[in-house]
Amino acid sequence: MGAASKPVYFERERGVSRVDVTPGVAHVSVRFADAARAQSERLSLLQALAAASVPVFMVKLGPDSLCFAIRAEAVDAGEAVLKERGHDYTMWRDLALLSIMAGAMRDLSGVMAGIYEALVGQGIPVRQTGDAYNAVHCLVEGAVAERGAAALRERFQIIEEEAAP
Amino acid sequence: MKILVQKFGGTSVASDENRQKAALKVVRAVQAGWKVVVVVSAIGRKGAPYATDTLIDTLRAVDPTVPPAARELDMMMACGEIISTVVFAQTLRARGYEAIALTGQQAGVRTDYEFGNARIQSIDPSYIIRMLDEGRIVVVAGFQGATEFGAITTLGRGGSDTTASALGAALKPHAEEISVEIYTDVNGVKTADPRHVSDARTLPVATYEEVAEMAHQGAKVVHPRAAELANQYRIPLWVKSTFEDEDGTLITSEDEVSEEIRRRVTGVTNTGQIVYLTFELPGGNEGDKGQIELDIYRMLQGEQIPLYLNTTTGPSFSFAIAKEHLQRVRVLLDGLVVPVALGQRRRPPFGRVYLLGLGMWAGFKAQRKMLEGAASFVELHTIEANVREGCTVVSVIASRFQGMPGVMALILETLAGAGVPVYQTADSPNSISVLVPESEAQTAVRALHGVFRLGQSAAEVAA
Repeated sequence: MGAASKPVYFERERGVSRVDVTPGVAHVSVRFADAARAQSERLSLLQALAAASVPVFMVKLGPDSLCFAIRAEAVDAGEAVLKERGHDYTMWRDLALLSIMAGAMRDLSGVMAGIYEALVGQGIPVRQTGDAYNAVHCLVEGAVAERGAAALRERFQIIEEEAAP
Repeated sequence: MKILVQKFGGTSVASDENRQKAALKVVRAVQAGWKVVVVVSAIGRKGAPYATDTLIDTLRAVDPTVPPAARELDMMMACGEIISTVVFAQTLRARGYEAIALTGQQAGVRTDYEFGNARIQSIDPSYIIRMLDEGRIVVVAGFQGATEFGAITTLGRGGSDTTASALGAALKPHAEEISVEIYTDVNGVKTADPRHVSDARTLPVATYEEVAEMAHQGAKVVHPRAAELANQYRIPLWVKSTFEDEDGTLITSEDEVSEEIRRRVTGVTNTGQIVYLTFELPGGNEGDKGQIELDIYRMLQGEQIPLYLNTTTGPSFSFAIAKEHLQRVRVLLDGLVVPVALGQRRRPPFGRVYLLGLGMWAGFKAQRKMLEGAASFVELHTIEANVREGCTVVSVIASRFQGMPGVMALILETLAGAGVPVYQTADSPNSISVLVPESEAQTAVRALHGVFRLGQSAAEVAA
């Protein structure tokens, strides 16, 4: 004690601090022929996927559909479940998840605008989105993911050494 | 020396009776051998004479047509904490303890220039350490700091929690042991809001990530900024009750908790009143969706309206806004015209134009009339948004739920069994959220709390 104390620098810059790329994600859209039974069909399918130990995420409900993402290691098992149950589905493989990381996301505005400015500017369509306390996730074609990430880093002025995961 | 930072919120210092209870916590810490730094919020909530909102109202009442300057507004708001600090220091002195009251600036808290939402750049803890060395209890005004040229700033949401964590970080190098305690009117982080779920349990331990996610999903616990700082500097953060003597919740890093805690369902939260907007493009025009989304998000960015639960599927996209923003969003988006690919063709139609409607119709009708005159030159499409009011978001907080297949299915099954319609879902690595009617929020929270057996401890569940 008693020694001269140095100031401590801490609170991070607000806003987007990092962009990560997770390759090897598939996206599935399942259509149910009878919209009136969509709720029970959705539930039944999710239960079947769980029973086959297939984790799904970015789950979205449509009036007569269900969309979700699957990581590469579970894609084959997931597709087996869909085929076995005879679902009408479309699966897009070789997608990637762009994760745009920021602290206290709920207090921020303009992050979605920035993301779309960067990705639309590069002609990259966003297949699905999700948000958490510290991130917005966008599912895009794997082939353009790194280009999308670079555009996002430029848009949010993230310098290269900070950009590495 | 052992340094303990204790933060008391507005309720904890709202009355003399409450302040005495808070002071007792300080005294006990001193008696246990801690050097104590107290952080206080302003006295009471809206309506109380020195509450932050009351001070703002006083300033605005001078002339409601002239908004106060951001700098002066911060100066005014900071007064609430300063008054509270002096009163609390006097409360300790009256109990026979040497205490000194410090403003944020006197405590060495330097911030940037973003008045109303300033970011802490640095803390020079020299003066606090000197005071602690002299045997005083240091009482610091939370929620405030000052710029390098001395302008008073306030820290925005969660400001006092952030001050406490930040002081913990700044004092850590000078202490053999450091701990931060956030005192509130509940005895820790709960598995659900105890006002709605009778068997809501206090979590003995939670990770920084869990707490940040709970706060993001609507639980009123520690502000994520404070949790983030504590995480970054590895400072043990406790949430305790001013009015009870229970242990509370220790918030700590993931690598210091058991595997069981790392992979568990933590709690159920409920965000406030939500409006869910869905836009559907005409068939075959999916390729234009990105541009339309971009224009909408830009409009909302301009008004600083946060949005969440973003979903984009096929020709439609949706997002949620807080109910309080609906009127502003209607004004912004009703009648919004989005041109796409204009000028890319040499002959008509020269491009596509989308006209948005959000049920206000004045702007929409006026724009449509004008655009119809140009119908021979461009393809005109109208998109009437589906505005679903009276919604809320109920979230199940689950560490690494993506490694736990079946959680989503169980949530949907449980809600279907309880008769709660689910309009949409959203998930992140640490939570699954469902959009449900506001009128069903409590039913949904109780049902999910029950199915995940959150009212029982891990030992009880195992038994």
